[in-house]
Amino acid sequence: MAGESSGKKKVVEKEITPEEWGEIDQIIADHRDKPGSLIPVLQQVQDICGFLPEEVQNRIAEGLDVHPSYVYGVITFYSFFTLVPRGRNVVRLCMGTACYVQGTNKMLGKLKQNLGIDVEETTEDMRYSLETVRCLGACGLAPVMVVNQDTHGLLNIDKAIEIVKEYE
Amino acid sequence: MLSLTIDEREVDVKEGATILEAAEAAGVYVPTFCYHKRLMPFGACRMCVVEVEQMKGRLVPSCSTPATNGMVIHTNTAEVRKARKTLLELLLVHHPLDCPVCDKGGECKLQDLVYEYELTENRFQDSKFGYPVDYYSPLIERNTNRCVLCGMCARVCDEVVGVAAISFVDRGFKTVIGTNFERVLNCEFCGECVNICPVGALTDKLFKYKARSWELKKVNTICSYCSTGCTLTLGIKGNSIYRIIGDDTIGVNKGSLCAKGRFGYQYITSPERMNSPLIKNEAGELVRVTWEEALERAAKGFTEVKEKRGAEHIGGICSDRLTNEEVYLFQKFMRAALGTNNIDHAGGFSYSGLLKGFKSSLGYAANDITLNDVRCADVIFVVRSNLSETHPVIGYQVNMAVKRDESQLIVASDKTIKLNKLAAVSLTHKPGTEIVLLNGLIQAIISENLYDKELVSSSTEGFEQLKAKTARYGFDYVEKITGIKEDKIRETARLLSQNKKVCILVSAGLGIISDDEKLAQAVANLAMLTGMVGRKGSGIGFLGEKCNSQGTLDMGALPHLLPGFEEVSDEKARNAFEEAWKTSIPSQPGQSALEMFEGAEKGSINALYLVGENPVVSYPDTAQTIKALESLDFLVVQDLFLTPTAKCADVVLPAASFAEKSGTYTNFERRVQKLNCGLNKLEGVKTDLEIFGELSLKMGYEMNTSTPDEVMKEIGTLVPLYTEVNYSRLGEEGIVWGSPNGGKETTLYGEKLSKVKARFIPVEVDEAMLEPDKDYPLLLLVGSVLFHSGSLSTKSPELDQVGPGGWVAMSMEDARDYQLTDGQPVFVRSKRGEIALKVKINKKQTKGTVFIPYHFESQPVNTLTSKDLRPTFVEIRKG
Ligand code: SF4
Ligand code: SF4
Ligand code: SF4
Ligand code: FES
Ligand code: FES
Repeated sequence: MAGESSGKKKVVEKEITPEEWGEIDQIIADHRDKPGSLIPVLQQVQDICGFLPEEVQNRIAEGLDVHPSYVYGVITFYSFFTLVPRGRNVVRLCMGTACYVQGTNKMLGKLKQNLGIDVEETTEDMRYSLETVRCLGACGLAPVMVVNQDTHGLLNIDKAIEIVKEYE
Repeated sequence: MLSLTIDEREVDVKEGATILEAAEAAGVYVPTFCYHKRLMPFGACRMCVVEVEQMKGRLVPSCSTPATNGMVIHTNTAEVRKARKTLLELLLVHHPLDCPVCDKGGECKLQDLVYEYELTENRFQDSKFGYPVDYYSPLIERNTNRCVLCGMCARVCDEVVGVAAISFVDRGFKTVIGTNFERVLNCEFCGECVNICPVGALTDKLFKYKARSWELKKVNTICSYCSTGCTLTLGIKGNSIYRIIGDDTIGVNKGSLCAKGRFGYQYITSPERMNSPLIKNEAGELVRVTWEEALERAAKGFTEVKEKRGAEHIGGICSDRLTNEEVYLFQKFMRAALGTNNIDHAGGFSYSGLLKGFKSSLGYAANDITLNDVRCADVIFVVRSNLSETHPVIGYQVNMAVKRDESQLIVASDKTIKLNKLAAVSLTHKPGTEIVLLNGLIQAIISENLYDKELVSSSTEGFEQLKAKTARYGFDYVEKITGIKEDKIRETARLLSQNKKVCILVSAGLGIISDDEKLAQAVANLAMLTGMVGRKGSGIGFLGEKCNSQGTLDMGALPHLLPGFEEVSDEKARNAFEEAWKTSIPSQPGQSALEMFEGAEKGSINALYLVGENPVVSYPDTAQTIKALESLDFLVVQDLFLTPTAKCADVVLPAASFAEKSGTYTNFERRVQKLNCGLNKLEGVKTDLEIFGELSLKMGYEMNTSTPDEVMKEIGTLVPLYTEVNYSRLGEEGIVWGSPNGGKETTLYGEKLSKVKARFIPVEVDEAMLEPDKDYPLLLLVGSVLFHSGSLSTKSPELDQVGPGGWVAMSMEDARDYQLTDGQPVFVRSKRGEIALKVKINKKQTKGTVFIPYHFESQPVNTLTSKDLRPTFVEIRKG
């Protein structure tokens, strides 16, 4: 029940390579029998694969002897985990109250158009993923957008599109 | 102690109590959604808000706010009511108003509170959720639209059951209770989540659209599967069970149940149940006859064998699922009406083996431990016991003890089991080497001077022999045989000897070689050495497979013991029974079940009376079993179903199920608990109790007891351990026999073993027995699985649905070596026979072993095994 019911999403297919599987298994083996290791394992595995698809989740669940539903619950709770491959640049638009009234909603529409993807989707060339967040805690700068680690405030639509373009 | 005032009432509670607990103590009702006393406080729903004068103006959640001294609390002010009402309004914004078709209707917390708060309209409006309903999971239906996000289901599944198969998924407004990728449930199907859900978001599919909850008559009775002895609440309408739930205010289980207990009742109304006695006609066919004819024929058959060959040529074996009263009458019938001590029961293979060892070491063939002791233990040592499958509710206690109270768990097992993930120390040893491991621990404890010297010298015998005999079990030797390394043995030795409340749990029925008696003695040695017996809160728990494994022993369904563990060879004991029964009893012990089967083939046993027993399926070496049955002159089988064993009989007598009778079962704690009859008997059947009485009368011996109550009175006069057990005093807690204070305490052995004669009995095993044959390289493990118990549960289609048979589990490594894939058909062959199964690759299976459950008629694993009590080795080839 994650995600919207807006039909099929545009998801870029990506296979986990044998080398990546090897690294995943190593990470699991290093943390086995250590309590509280699920989140660090998920973080490290995501750093390697870029995302956490079902097959990877099942491998981790089995390796750490926890139920796959539990793993899935943790992944979907934290916004920094992703089920689908993300682009090289993750564009996050704030939908918190302050930003919303300053028009991030309209900005979102434009960005979608411009990038040709919906929220929680990734462009085919893997350059961008688009996401929304609730209040980034920078309401004074509303409307706010974060690209990767960089916060951009006091935006308008054109400025936002210009900024996004700078990310390769 | 804290004193506080709640709604003008003064109340004292202990330090650390929450406001809600204080309110409960004061008898003040506070509504809740996310609080449950079996779970850790969660504090998410805010339904339980109250006003505290000292926190002027603020409403605090009572379930998660600690009470403090002098607090003045109001639980029902206008302010509080308004807050609760708003909360309900918000919940109702998205909640579908489908109460008329919701199975929770009538017992739904949301419905009740909306009624209580007179919510007739809603200030807020929004669209309903429209999440898809999971109609596809077995047994449980999940309708997220009705969920109030109290999280109790996910918490009970994790905190109690230890599975976490459902979880909060997603975040913020989108949060739901779900599974990974919205898959169907893949779990233990215990139904604990359904039982705890306050609304109709999780419902019991077997109950769907069958009845409204208020139409059901509630009858509390005892589960007829395993020896935990959980209290079930049957929901009855007409003459059928519509559902089974757990009531968290009663029973040893306090409302928890497993899949067998909750969903495994449909065998009672199975169309396959027999509803008429049968006798074999001239042509060798079983034909329906009246009870009169059947009982005549049974009496005549036994009388003929008795007159022609003598009573010692007759034997009787009963199931450990009979009630105490029935077992008592059964052995009385065998001993008094027929005149033989050839009496045994199925548990005779394992549980009584375990307890025989126990009796020789500690004087009683019974445990001195309670379920609550397990829950409160500092250290739990599980030996040869996959108890999360065989005794799930005991498994829940272990899970809670470890997760909530940081008990240390040690697991000694020949494969990885569910409990390993909770274990502080995992001792995954080579199959069949438990005794070597225990001897290694004993050696370590003695050589490191960790043992309880005071207890050993004051209350036990045989320490020097033990010391001498176990001296050779040094770390290197033990590692060579068991595969367990020195550091783990040292750590276990320390944990066992340096903690106060220590429990050892051992399950019956998982032995590869029949070393149960020795295993019991080895465990007893360890327990005496560390002083964990004869100390309150510590002790050994042998877990019998069936609901009345303990009571069946207590009631003397054994060749050498009368009721109350009196030896038949003891003249004085025998005389007491002879006098009461007005007859004589043979002074020689009779034959065990296995001896009877051997004797049948050789001609020294000519008639058998099998009650609730299905040896063709459940005894080792099926070919021999059938041959033995065919050699008999006369066979009577009494059961619910026309089992493969019943098909061999001359007379078949249809019996009643546990829900159709009253009586008592004795659980693993020695707690005698009352079964309350919920259903009228299926037409055409009689209870086992009735059958024994009538058959005995036909044989010319009158028992004079026709109700369970009367039988229990007779037991009370002859069995000192049961004098306290009186129907009028058997409340919901039952009575633990042999303990003071009306059964409230369990100190059978006495403090520091003062009431028993404790002896160390050194034991060893023939390690060569475990060497595989080159033609048969794999060791066969036979046992039970989560969804089944005995062969009865296989007649409940819903358990078969989640736990079907037809497979052999093997390790990944072996599967690779044999080039087998999951689901591939294979033949499993031993020296004795061959069966066709499908491979189930199980990463937890140990290399070199295969596992086959024994419950299923359709996969007769016992065609492979032998009655010589040696391990069975098999080979596997592609089918
Ligand atoms: S049925 Fe039992 S194991 Fe399955 S989800 Fe519910 S509580 Fe968990
Ligand atoms: S499904 Fe039931 S128990 Fe689970 S969170 Fe929802 S309302 Fe609570
Ligand atoms: S099978 Fe055992 S654990 Fe399960 S409900 Fe029955 S008595 Fe309890
Ligand atoms: S609302 Fe956007 S940063 Fe706070
Ligand atoms: S019951 Fe107290 S917050 Fe839910």
